[in-house]
Amino acid sequence: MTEKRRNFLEILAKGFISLWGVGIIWILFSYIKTPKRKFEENLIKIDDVSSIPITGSSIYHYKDKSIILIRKEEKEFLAFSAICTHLKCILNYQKEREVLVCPCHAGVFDMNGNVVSGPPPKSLQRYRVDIRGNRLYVYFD
Amino acid sequence: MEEKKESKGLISWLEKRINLFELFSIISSFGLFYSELDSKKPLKEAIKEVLEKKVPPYARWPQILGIITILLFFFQVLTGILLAFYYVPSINESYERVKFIIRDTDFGWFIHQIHFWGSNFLIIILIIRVMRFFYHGVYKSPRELLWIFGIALLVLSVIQAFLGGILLMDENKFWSSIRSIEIIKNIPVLNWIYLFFLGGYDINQQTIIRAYFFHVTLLPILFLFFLYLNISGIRKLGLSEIPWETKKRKEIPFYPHHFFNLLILLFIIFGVLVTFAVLFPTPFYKPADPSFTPPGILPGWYFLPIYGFFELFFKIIPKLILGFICILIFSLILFLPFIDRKEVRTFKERILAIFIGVIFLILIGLFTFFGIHKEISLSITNIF
Repeated sequence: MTEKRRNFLEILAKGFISLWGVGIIWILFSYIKTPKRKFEENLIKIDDVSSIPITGSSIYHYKDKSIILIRKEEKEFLAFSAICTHLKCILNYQKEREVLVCPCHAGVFDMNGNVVSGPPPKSLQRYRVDIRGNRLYVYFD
Repeated sequence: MEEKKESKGLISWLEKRINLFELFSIISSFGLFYSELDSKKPLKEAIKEVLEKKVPPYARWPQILGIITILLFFFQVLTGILLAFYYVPSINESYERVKFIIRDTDFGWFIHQIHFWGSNFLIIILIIRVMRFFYHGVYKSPRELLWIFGIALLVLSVIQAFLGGILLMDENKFWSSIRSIEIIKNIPVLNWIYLFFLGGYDINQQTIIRAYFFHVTLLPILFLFFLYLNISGIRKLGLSEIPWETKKRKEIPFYPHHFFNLLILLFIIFGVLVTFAVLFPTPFYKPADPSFTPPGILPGWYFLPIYGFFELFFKIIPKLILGFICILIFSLILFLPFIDRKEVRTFKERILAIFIGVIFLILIGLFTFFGIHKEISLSITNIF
């Protein structure tokens, strides 16, 4: 009788301890696992880049982001956030000076996204561009 | 039962291939086994011998504090490694990364909270440990160094908590760190050390990288080193007896009695940490704005007595002298075993020492109170 009871208690104790162990391991694994990159949500796909002339630019809107895509040469593209870091106006590209200019308060950014002059406090976010044939992908990482 | 046989077989298999004795003696140095392994016997027998050896009932009041320190440190290392998976030490990115850990990862908030509460409990436990060392006269010969190691562990854990606070970059922790830095600035010697290691009294990119580096590499290693010194010292000298306990305690075998006591302790500590992490989470505010100081922010609680001390006296006494008083008190505490060298340990013979200790504690409590309630200390200083 007592032996049975002791066995039962032992099983109970071991069960509890392994339950704790499983729980802790589950927490660890679910925390450590690399967060999924949601590629579909994090890129803009542009099917036909020939619509942008060389030294021309184009603006794309996607969710809360706006992107200005600048074509410098045949296969050289630059993508920046098109939103001025000052008061969130949409930037224009001036191909003669090769700068991005904010129409609201004349903030000027160079082709690295850095502030050249004007009120903007921070430099522009630059995005990674991937060209595959006639298609172009802009990634927000 | 079958599992045991298998694992024993595995041990003897491994023993022929790697030096397991070294491994086990490392573990024993950090407080898991309580006597040395007999290296002449096969490991299986040696371990059995160690397991059956009678140990004094450690896991009871009040010798429990050392093992709690080890367990809490273990938790801190584990959760710290987990947080380092996502954290980036950068003035612009840190806040976003911490927000990501807390909001976007699974159980990130939980690990963050456990790390926070673990650090606070580590400091509290080490303070209690130092207090018990004083009360039971553990610092007397031949255990002078144990006292110094205990203080070193406490100081290291305070530094760790302070540096960890810098890394978060939210409004509350940022300004609380700035308050702490202002205190450090006023204490001579300490401010030289601070400037040497962290460069300046403001928080910039350099501060964050250095704070992160010290927080995750150098200081944990130092902590582990002092822990090792502390425990190996205890192994050599034996557990300190409580001076006024005449009745000898029953010895218990390591396995299973003591082992299960340890296991229960582990569960209790984990339970307490989880409870505090869930019921009293530390808030994470909006990003810090270095040009705007929010009202009513205090330094880290471990700095509050010094903060209150400065708040109360800075109008009457120059800050430099106040700083030197702090340094003097700290050195008196640190070198206590070499100041109070009488070998008496019973309560009746140490009434003066205990009295001074109690006065000191009351003063600490008083200064903490004045640190928290700044308006009271201000109205007092206005009288003068």
